[in-house]
Amino acid sequence: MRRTALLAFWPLLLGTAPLSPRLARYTIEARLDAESHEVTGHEKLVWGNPAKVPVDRLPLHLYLNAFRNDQTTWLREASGEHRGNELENFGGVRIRKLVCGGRDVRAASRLDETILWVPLQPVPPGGEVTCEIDFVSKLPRVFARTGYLEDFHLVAQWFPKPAVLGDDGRLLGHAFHVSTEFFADYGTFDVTIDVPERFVVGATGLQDEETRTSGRKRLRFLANDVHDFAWTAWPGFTELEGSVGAVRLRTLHAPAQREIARRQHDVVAAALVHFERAYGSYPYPNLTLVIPPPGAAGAGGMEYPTFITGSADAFSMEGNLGPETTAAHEFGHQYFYGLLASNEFEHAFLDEGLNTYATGGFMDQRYGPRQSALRFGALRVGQFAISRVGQGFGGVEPLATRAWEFASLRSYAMHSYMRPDLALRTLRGVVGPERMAAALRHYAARRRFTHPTPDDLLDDLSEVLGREPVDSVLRPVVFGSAWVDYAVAGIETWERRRPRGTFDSDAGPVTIDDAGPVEPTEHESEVLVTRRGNLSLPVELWTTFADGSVRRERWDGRGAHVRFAYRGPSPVVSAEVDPRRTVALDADLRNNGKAAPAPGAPRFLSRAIHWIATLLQLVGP
Amino acid sequence: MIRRALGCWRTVVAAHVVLLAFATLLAVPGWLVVRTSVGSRPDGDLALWHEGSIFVADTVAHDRGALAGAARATALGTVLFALLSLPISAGLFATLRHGRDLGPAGFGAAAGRAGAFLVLLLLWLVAAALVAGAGFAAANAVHGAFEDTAPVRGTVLAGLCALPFAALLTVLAAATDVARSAVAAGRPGPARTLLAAARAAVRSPLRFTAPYCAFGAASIAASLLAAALADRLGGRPGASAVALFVIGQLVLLARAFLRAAWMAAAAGLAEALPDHASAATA
Repeated sequence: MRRTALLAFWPLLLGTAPLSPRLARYTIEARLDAESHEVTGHEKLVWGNPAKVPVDRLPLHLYLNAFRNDQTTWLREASGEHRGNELENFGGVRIRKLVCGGRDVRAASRLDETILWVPLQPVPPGGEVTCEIDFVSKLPRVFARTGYLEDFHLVAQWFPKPAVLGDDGRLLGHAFHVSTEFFADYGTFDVTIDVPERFVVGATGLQDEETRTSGRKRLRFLANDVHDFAWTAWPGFTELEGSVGAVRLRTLHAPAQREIARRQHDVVAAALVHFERAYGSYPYPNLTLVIPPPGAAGAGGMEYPTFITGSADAFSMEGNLGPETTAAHEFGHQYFYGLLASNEFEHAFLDEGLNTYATGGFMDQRYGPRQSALRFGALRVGQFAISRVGQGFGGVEPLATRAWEFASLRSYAMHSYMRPDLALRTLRGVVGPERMAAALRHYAARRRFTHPTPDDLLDDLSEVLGREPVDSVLRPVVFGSAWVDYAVAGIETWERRRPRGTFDSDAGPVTIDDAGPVEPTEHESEVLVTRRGNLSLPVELWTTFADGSVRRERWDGRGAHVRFAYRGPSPVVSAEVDPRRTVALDADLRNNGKAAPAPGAPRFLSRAIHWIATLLQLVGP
Repeated sequence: MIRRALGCWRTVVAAHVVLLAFATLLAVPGWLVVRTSVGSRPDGDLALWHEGSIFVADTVAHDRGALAGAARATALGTVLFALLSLPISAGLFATLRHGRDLGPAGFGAAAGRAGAFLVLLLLWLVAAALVAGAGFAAANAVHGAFEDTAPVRGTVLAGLCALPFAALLTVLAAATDVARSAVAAGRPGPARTLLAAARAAVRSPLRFTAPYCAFGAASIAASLLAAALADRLGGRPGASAVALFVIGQLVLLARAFLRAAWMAAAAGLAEALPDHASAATA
């Protein structure tokens, strides 16, 4: 027996006062069969009733059952594939023993696909019940964030986990849908993992001890104040180690992925510093980043408490910041999901959307806002542009829509990731970056270790920013289908001429046919700005004249249009509404600027002719 | 060879003008999408390169259907051009074989061999597809064997594995042009001519591929230079669209003459091909 004290301070952690409600206390023994890819487990669960009413049924999530057959809700919604990967074999959880409160309730339990309803003797509010559960989890071939590829294993959503209940005892979790993620109460985990000796293991929490017998090893992991537990095991892992302050950072990867693993390791280290500054301290002593081996991309890009998976690419060009974005995004979930455990079934935007905004802010700061996603020759793409592509994903729906009730998966993606980012960028544009940062910091601090709702977010932001900006920008987007499109609809200029026609004079009516232009020459110009949509925000207009001068106007954004008129020696040559891109939600930024005359697209035509002629030279004479 | 190509400059330029006209026609759908999208903005299509590509993003978001339509039109037009340009190709090969402009009658007579050129095109496509397919399958097998254990090494080895197939494709491409030259000169039997050219090319691959690769490399270098210049000019406010256009056109014309120079070299190789009777007994 060999005892390895990997970190000396975990007992200190155990000794600290609870940071979270700790409604579920798990003690799990798990044994991996690397040949059959099954995990045999014994779980002792102590569950506390958070409701204000007695509870006589405990709903347990069995997420892996989504992959039991091709008729499950999840697989029917997904048409059998996820992120381009097809499910190649089925998985699922079998319950072998279920004893709660000393009673065998296995036979009396009712399985509703991914939720097992367990009958209980009524548990009073604040009361506890202990369940002993034996289960076998069969992993699918890597698919939708979990599974195996040869002897690589990413073991996630593998154990029976109580669903979250509301004050009235109502189930707040739901069946596992293709567009939903997970939702659980905070608790403590004491998990012992038994694997073949040659396997390298990474998991949620801190490793306490390791024992080896008969070609196998048992590793014990402890994690407090978290709401999920995932782990990985693969003989092929090598690792990078580092630390950021008191936080130990460990990256597991295949040897061939060293370079791309290093890039993701470094960006997570930088993100940790950024997020601590922006959203409060990271309260755990460690973080494990897993780079799935090539071929196991389905296990990549996912978040679990203190355990995230990055991009599985073996190689990526330096200027492609996709792997960095993935790693930073998954780390960001340690806050927007980990510490702020919102309901991912019902309000996906609270974790994905806020995290997209937060990660975008980090990436913009680290790489520059105009090249924070891609730098390739003259082509520079920022995170803002990535979010804007989503504007074309269909009609506008409220952000606070349950994930599976969006019109489509594309609409879910648009309203859970991209549109919340644009909404928060718009609010930032209205209130200023410092106040916005303070407001989000307030929300992150106040709702830490809770299950925040959309109303909590709006209330907390309002406390710092005031009701008006939150109610005019964010609330209509969260609970309604608000949208807006500002445009410079027209520019007209003309040379001023002396009056002509018939005029009265002392000598009687005088008719002037053409008096010629006024001298010195003067021009009159009109700029017509329009607003479509039901969101109304103040915007700037920058009007440029032929002599190079610029006039800055302000419009309160009320009404459908406004006309700005100018008279002076120079005509207006162009105008741009919202030139600072304050209203990131603007449905179409292309029509925000207009020139008279229009410059057209001569460079594009020139390039297109060149490249098409090149193509024709290949196939022609 | 360059001198011979320059000696036929009228025909080379005329063929190039036809190509350019077609390219312009095919560029119009995409250009209309972009012009409608950002053409009235103060910075016109320069906006596409600004502000972290937000206008590219908005164009993709709002005009996805129009962009796809433009791409389809260009692809279809390219196939159409490959067929319609066969008579021009035949006339050009014949002109470069003679080393002087043939005039409308001579060019027309050579262009009448377009049917044989179509056969050569189809044979080339089949052969190229077979070689490329075999190369892809071999590279894929090697890559797959290393995918789980050493993916980077697998990628390198897959690349190495594809090299012989790429070399064979180059030899085939050069042989096809030599066969075209021979057919343009009136040699009957395009399939047998191609076979004779391929045999000759396999026997002395360097003699066939060295000029082909030299002119090809010069073309690629000119393209890269143009792309670099276009990037520098295109992304800079105030860059002259005229300068961009002129650079692009000069490079295209240079490539047309480099291709013509290779055609002239191919004519020399075609003259050395054994006739069918001797090829059959060889």
